[in-house]
Amino acid sequence: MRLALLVDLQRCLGCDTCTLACKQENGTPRDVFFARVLNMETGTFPKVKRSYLPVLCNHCADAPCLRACPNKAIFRRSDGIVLIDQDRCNGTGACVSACPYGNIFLTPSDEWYFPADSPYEHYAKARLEPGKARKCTYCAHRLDQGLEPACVVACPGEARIFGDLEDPESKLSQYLRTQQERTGREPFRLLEELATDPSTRYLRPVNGTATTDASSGNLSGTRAAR
Amino acid sequence: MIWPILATIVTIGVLFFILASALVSATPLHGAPTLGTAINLGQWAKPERVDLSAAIIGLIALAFVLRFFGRWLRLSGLALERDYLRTLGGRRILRDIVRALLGDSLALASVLKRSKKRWLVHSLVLYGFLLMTLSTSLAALLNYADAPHGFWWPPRIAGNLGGLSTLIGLSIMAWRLWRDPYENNGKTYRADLAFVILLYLTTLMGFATEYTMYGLNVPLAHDVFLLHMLLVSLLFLTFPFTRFSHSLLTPFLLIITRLNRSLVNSRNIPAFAEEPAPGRHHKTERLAADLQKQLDPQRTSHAGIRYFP
Repeated sequence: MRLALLVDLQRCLGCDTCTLACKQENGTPRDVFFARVLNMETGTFPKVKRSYLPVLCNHCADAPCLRACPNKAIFRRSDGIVLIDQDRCNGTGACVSACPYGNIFLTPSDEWYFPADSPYEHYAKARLEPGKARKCTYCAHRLDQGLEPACVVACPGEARIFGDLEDPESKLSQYLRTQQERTGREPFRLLEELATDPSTRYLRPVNGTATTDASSGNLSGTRAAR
Repeated sequence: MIWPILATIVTIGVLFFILASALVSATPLHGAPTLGTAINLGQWAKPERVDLSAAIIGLIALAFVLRFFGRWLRLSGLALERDYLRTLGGRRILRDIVRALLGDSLALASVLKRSKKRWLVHSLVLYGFLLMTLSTSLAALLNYADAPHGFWWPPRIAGNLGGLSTLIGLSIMAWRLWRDPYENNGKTYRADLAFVILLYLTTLMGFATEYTMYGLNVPLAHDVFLLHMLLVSLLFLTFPFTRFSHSLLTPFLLIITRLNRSLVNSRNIPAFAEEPAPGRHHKTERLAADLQKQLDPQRTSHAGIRYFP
């Protein structure tokens, strides 16, 4: 079994709903985002294109963070999810430096958005210990209850598909098969040359770029293909 | 960046010294100083052969280590961060490197911060190993003419104490590896075991050599010493594949962590202020470039990050 997340860049609107859903679910402090969306610009005005790249922990099969951790605080579950044991983490930061994707967070102290804590912050603070490395868990706590990750559920474009890579009947495998047949798209992984074998996969936009063309002001790609 | 280069230069220097000494021993030159190691394997090999073998094994081990660090350098993306790090200035970079090497790594401050017990066990092995390495190096290189040295020669006593300390520390570690289910992280457990077993056997064989050489079974001394030397060679040859690698990898990563934290704290680059994942900025740029490569393999346009949370 290997749980994985597929991001269809054709369907990503760059709306950051995944970012917010993740924050709400995991109660992360200020400036800490497990699910981020990179907002990129290409070209020169007026021929400018914008693309979005949602990034999160890749739960690599050969995770550098896991190898780097001197305290054995990082481990890989049998379903392929890489987790940081908060009780064992010493906050050395070796994993932060080792992660080539920059998806592990380590803050000496946590800061919050409001001066006075709401019940939500009380709840979130109780779960977090400062000075420990944190990252996306593919919402392992939700998966254990039979639920999908928060970002997957929240995505309005249904750009995130979650499932078992090794099960041909999983939602993810079926989606990949359908897309291969209909659009000829094959999934790719970020920084493949580093040989970390990430679980998170991406599908290219159908026309090469899901973008906004500033000269026309129209969305191209994303809406047209849906 | 400076630290791996320094380590490489020092390692190459030591290996070159051993190789040169082996060659000088093999073909004595008039007036040349007496060089070489005091490693005597009796009927198994002449000292100059031992030196030459040690140099070859050392070079192979060095090649493995360089390959190992090459991968970690690529993973860390340090080369992409060069321009950002320049804003820190040489003095600050040097300060961070020294603090990471001496404080976080050698004094094990990063371990002590969280657990005194763990620090103690770690210290027993680390300082024991360092004592053994130093005393062996001193015995082999600096006092060549007087080898083999007497049992009460101070570096030898230090080495034996180091060995004892290592054995105690390794025993506690082995117990923990066996009893603590969390030690098996699903990836490095075998490498951890391999290192503990290999170092344990090497140290035991070192004591066996002492026992046979100064104890009751002198005829066996060279056989036991040969086994000890083979285990030492294996320990270094397997460096990248066992937990031994963390002895260099962790300091390297701690240096990067300190540098990246300094970069955030310096506020030289506005985008870095309040950065919760030090070092994330240049890595994010690499991700953006990688996506651009996927979407536009011909590289007809350049991609810039507008913003990211």
